[in-house]
Amino acid sequence: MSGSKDDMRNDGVRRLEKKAADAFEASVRGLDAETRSRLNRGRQRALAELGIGTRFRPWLQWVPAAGVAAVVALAIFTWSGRPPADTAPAVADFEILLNTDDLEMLEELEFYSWIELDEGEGANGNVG
Amino acid sequence: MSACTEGFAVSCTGELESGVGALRREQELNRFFADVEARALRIAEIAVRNREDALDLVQDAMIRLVRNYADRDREEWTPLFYRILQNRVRDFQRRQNVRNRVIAWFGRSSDPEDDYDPIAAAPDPDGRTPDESLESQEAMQELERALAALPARQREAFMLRNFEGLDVAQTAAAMGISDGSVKTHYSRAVHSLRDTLGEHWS
Repeated sequence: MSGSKDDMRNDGVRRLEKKAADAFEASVRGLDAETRSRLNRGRQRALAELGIGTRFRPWLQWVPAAGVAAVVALAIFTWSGRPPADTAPAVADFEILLNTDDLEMLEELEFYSWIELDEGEGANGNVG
Repeated sequence: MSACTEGFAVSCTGELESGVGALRREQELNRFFADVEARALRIAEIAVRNREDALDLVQDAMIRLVRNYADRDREEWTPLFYRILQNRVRDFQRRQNVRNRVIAWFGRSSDPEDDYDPIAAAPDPDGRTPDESLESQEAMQELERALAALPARQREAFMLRNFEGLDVAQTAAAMGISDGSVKTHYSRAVHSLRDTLGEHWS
């Protein structure tokens, strides 16, 4: 007896579920063209987000690699104990330029550059 | 001369593969949205009772899915998308409640029934006879009124299970609750709807 009641209730639930689902599907099928067009435009706007950050800025994918390379180069430079030989003049130049006693030299930088060039050529001439 | 020669061949192949992969993903997402968007709109519209707001909420949910979960497996998109949408709907309803309280405080009517026109919100007919169309529209309007009277969680569980066809686990993921809670909410929703809609619905 109670089994029969349960069956009837279950049948009623199933009918309600089916009728609700059918009414809902009919309302979805009945959506007007303008609404469907607006949904389509919204979808395209959402899909456009997919390209941002990769398609339109492809160089960004190299930023992490460049950062790692820069850190590695700095680490090698720092931990080697002394700078490479060819960087020594550059460091010396900075020391000179930052020395307040030699500020006058800044005003005649072009002259001292000429002297250095002239001496270099003379030395090459002696060797040759 | 092609850029993809000799030493560059490996990296170019990788780029091509990633490009093809991105295109395939975009096509999959496009198909997914095209499949789900109309039902999602109607579900959001039933919840917020306004088509314009529902369109905004669905588009927002699409954008958030693309931004945050485009790289997930296709099977995960449906519960994720509905979880985002349900969260957006709840946020919207909270703001609406605050707005209605403020409006009521200033002495204006804030009854949402005033703004809701079921005839205007009803869908257009689609190849059915006028009688069939009218009957279907009336049934849907009746159902929407009954759904509007349900607690939010029961309404969500019913719409996700019955309208979108999600299983219990997917519905639980979409609602952020346990499987058991989904079953409870759904069962209560069905019985409330039976009581509200009467004999001819069941």
